Order: sequence, then C-alpha cells, then structure tokens
Amino acid sequence: MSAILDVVDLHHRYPLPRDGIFAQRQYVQAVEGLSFALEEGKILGIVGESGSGKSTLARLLVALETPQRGEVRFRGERISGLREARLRPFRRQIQMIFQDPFGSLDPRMRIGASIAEPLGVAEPGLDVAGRRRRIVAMLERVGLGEGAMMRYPHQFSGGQRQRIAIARALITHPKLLVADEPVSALDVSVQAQILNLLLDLKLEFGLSLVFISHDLGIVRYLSDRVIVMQHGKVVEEGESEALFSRPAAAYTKTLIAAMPRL
Amino acid sequence: MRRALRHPSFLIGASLSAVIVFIALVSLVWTPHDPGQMRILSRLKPPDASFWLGTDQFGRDIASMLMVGARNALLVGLVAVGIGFTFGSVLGMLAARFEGSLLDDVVMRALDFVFAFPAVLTAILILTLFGPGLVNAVLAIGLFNIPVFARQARGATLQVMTRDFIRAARLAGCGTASILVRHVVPNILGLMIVQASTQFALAILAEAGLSYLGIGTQPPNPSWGRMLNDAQTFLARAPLLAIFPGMAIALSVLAFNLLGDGLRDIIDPRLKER
Repeated sequence: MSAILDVVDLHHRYPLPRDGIFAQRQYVQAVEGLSFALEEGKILGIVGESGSGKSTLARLLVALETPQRGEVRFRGERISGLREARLRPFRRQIQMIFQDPFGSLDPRMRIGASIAEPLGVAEPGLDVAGRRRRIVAMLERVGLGEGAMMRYPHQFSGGQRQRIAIARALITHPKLLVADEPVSALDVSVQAQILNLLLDLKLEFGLSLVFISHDLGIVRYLSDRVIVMQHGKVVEEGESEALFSRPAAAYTKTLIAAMPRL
Repeated sequence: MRRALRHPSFLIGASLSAVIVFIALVSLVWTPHDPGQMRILSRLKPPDASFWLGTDQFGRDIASMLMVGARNALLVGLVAVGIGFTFGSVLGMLAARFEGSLLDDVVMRALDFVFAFPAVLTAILILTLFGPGLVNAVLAIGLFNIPVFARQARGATLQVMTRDFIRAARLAGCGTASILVRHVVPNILGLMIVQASTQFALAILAEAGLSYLGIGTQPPNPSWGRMLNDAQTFLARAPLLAIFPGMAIALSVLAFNLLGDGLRDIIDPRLKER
C-alpha cells in the first residue's frame, strides 16, 4: 500500500497581536513537529482536546495555511507552500468538511450555486445541463432532493446542511477528505446518520479520510489508525483497536478514562 | 420584509425619502412657476393661491425653487455617496483581503489622514483653491466619504473572511477576485447600504452648508443652502423665507437618517442567520 498523504515534521505557529510597532512579535505554537502518513483508502482518526492543534492541522493538510516548517505531500508531491495557481490541480482532489455547517455555506448563496462552485473551477468545460445533472445526482446521493438547489442554507437543519457540505466537498470526486469535527455541532440522533453517510461515500468514491474529533467513541468506531494529539504534538499513534485497548501514554489513558461508558 | 413594514423609523424614513425623490423627479417636468423668473411687483409675497410658499426678494416662486433645490440636493448626495461608496468599498475590501500587508497599511493610513481633517473645513479649502461650484463641492464631499466607506468595508470584510465558507471557497479553487465578488460583496452589501443612507443625509447637509457659504451651488441654480443665506437679510420682514428651505434641509436629513437607522435594525447581522 502506498501513502496518499505524508506529513513530515510539520510546524505551525500563529502570531499574536503586537503590543506596539517596536515590540517583539509573540507566537502561539499550534502544531509542533508532526509526522505521520495515511495509507490509500484508510481512515486516520486524530483525537485531542480543544486547543490541541487539531483544526490547525486540518487546515495545513488541505493547504489552507502554509506551515512554518515541514511538508505535506499528496501522493508524493509537496502541496504545502505552493502558490494558489500551482495548488489548483490538487484542490479538486483534496477536500474538507468543516465543523460548523452554519458557517461553511455562504448564507447569501443558493445551495445549487454553492455546490456548482467547485465543479465550475474543476471542470470549466461542463455545460449547464451537465453541471445540473451532476449536482442533482450528488444531492440525491446525500439524501436531499433536486428541490434543495434553489433554496438558501438557513432553510435547512444542521444535519441537512452538513449533507450539503458533504455534497459540495465530493462533487469534484476528491481522493482525500479531511473532516474536522464533522458531527460535533449536530444532535446526537443526527450524528450517526452523517457518520454512516460518510462511511458509505468513502467506499463509493474510494476516499481516504482524515477524521478529526474530540469524541473518542466516534474515532474508535471509524478509524483504522489513530493519532492522539496534545499541545500540538503527537502523544501516541497506533492501530485503532490496539491503541484503545492498550493505551501506552498517560495522556491517552486519561482521555480514555474520561470517556462516558454506555 | 414583514419586519421592514412594521419598523416605524424605516417606514417614516422610507416614505419621507420617497416623497422627496418624487418631488425632485416632478421638478424635472413641471414646477408651479419658472424658478428663475423674477417679478419686481410680487417681491416678498406671503403664501397665496398662486405662490404656494410665497416669493423671495426678487419675486421668484419659493415652491418652485425648493422643488428644483431638491433635485440638486439629491444629485449631490447620489454622486458624492457614489464616489465614497465605490472607491471606499473597493479600497476597504482590498485592505482587508491583504490585511497586515503594506497595501493595507498605506491605504488605511492615507485614509486616516483624510479622516483627520474636519470635512467641511477642508471642503471649503478645496473649493477656495479650485474655485466654487457644484461639481467641485460634490467631489470634495465625495472625497470625505471614501474613508468612511473604506473603514466600514474593511471591518465587515475582515469579519466575513474569518468564516468557514470563505475557506470552503478557497478549497473549491476560487481566486481572490472571485471570492471578493461572489462571497464578500453579497455578505457586506447590507451594511454598506445602511452606511450609504446615513452618508446621504450628511452629504445633503454638507452641500447645504457649502452653498450657504456661497461656495457650493452657484446662482441661478437654486439650492436650499443658498436660499437660507438669501433669507437671512429679510429675516425680520419675511421669516417664512428662511423657514421653508430650513425645513426642506431638516426633513431630508431626517428622512435619510431614519431610513438608515431602520435599515440597520432590519439588516442587523445578529439577526441575519434567521
């Protein structure tokens, strides 16, 4: 098996606002020396409490941010630090689902136009009818109908919006999907539906998945491999079952002990 | 929409503004009398059936002059706010997109510089340097509108740029221009229109002020501000002469301010999600 995603010694920090123009800049270290790989077709779970650098990592993986040091490679090619124009061919292959389905869809844009946006960039040659066919098929695949196209995000529930976000992310048939807490903003009753939809689509589209969550139960249920993060560093990494049944690091043990038992 | 119809200041502001716009439009095709025609025998007449609001010291019809003056006031507001809105919004959005860059610093500091001068005083300076007249007055007022719109646009854009749908657009492969046009503009337009309405009122006031000082609209073009100045001499004999243009100015400023306030409440970003 070859790796679809390689992360090598990734560092990222955010500048804090300066006290004055002559004051020294202060930084927050968000990601510090991360290295890992994701095999083609697998699911990598990343767990850690809030503030552990998970969301920063997600943005680095999809090249929304440029790391201070280190590299992100997609199928062996470096994508970190590329200019937007050179990044474009990779954009359609690497997509992301955001935590907040209320924020990830433009409130002023109809659903049809929202889903058409990545398609228009990836396949500019597609005619209007062809584009419409693809969008309708994708909407139906995520459990929504053609009627959704002309409506606005605020007319949908959180779960439905996340379905729309998934449709938008998958419309260009990406190979790698980074899901940043995709269900934590949703009702528990809806979470399972969205997770199962993601699993189905993963098989159907041949996706590799990075699944970021603070919910250990979900990560254990989904993932092949798991990385435990704390303060921007990897605390522990291993096969999902082994890691959850025989955690080695003290932090992992604490996290597991804090899991609610059902 | 339903909220708009129940909002008192929006309702009053919108209806008043509509009346003013209507009067200005009517003046294009019809006024009770020729606003420029002087009648030596009918000087300083009180209102009657023929001269609804009386006549001035040259026997000109006040009602007709006010109607044409409305046209002037609206034109000034429209062009001056248009200048500020267009240049300000573009500069503000660009400054926000390249936040923290040299461009951001240069643009915003330059606008701070403009902002730091008292607007009317500097407009007087500009008009003294480049000559009085409606066109220069409009340009001067427009110039001072640019920083107001730029700041508003920059702040609103910065706020929108932090939202996930902007990240999603970048992931979709959209470039800067397309993100600004397709996602930022629709999301900040409401706020900008509110600002425009308030600035419109201020522009009318500024034009009236400059014309009052004699460096705005030039005779024989009627202007509310100059009518006010002319009336000053005859305040004891014909106080109505000052009251009518004064009311016209006050009412139109009130109208566009109320409209702006109402719009602000209706387009409140906190309620936008619903």
